[in-house]
Amino acid sequence: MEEDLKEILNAFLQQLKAELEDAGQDISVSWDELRMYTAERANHLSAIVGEPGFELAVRAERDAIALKAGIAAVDTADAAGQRWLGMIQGTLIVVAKVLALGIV
Amino acid sequence: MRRAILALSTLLLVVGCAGSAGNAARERALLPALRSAWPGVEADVQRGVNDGLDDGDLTGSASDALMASADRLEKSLSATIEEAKSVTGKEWPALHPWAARGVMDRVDDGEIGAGVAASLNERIVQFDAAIDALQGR
Repeated sequence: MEEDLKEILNAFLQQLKAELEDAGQDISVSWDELRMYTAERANHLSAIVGEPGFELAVRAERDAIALKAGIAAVDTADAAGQRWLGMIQGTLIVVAKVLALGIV
Repeated sequence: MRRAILALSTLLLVVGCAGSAGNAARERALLPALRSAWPGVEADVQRGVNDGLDDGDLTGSASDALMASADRLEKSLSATIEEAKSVTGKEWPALHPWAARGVMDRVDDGEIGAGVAASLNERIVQFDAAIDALQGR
C-alpha cells in the first residue's frame, strides 16, 4: 500500500510539474507551495500506514490536495489573469484520476 | 485629457479581466474541488451533529436545522458561482465546528487513530480555506 501510494503521488507530481513549467515563470511560487504541500501530506500518509481508518485518511488527503490546488488557482488568477486556468483544470482532472487509482 | 481617459479605460479593462479570471478560477478549479471534498466533510458534520444530539448538546430541531443547512450548502456547490459564494458564506460557519466534532467522535469511539484524524482535520482546514477563497477573502 505504501509503495502504491508513493508511486501514485510521484506520478501526480511529475504530471503537475510538467504542466506548470509549460505555463511559465510566474506560477513558480504557487508550484513550489503546492509541491511542498503534497510532499508533506504524502509523508504524513506514509507515517500512518496501517492505522485504523487509513483509507479515510487517503481520501481526505486527496481532497485536501485538490482543494489546495483550487485555492492556488484562484490566488494566481486573481493576481496574474487567466493564463493557466485551463492547465489547472487539467491538473485537477489528473489529481482525481491518478490519486483515485487503485486506492480509493 | 484623452490620454487620461485612455489610461483609465485600460486600467478598468485590466481590473475587469483580473476579476473575471478570478471568478473563472473559482468556477472551474475551486468549485469542483469543493464538490469533490464535500461528501467527506458532510460525513464528519453528520457525525458531529449526531454526537451533539446524543450528548444533549443539540435539540432535535437544532440538529434538523444544521442538516438542512448542510443540504443547502451541497446544492449551492452545483449552482451558479454567485449562489455558491452567497450560500457557502452563510451556511459553512455554523457547520464547521460540527465537522471537527465528528472527527473527534470517531477518535473517541476508536474508529480512527490520531494520524487519520489529522488527515480528516486537514481536509476540513482546506475546505474552510477554499470557502474563504470562494468569497474572495
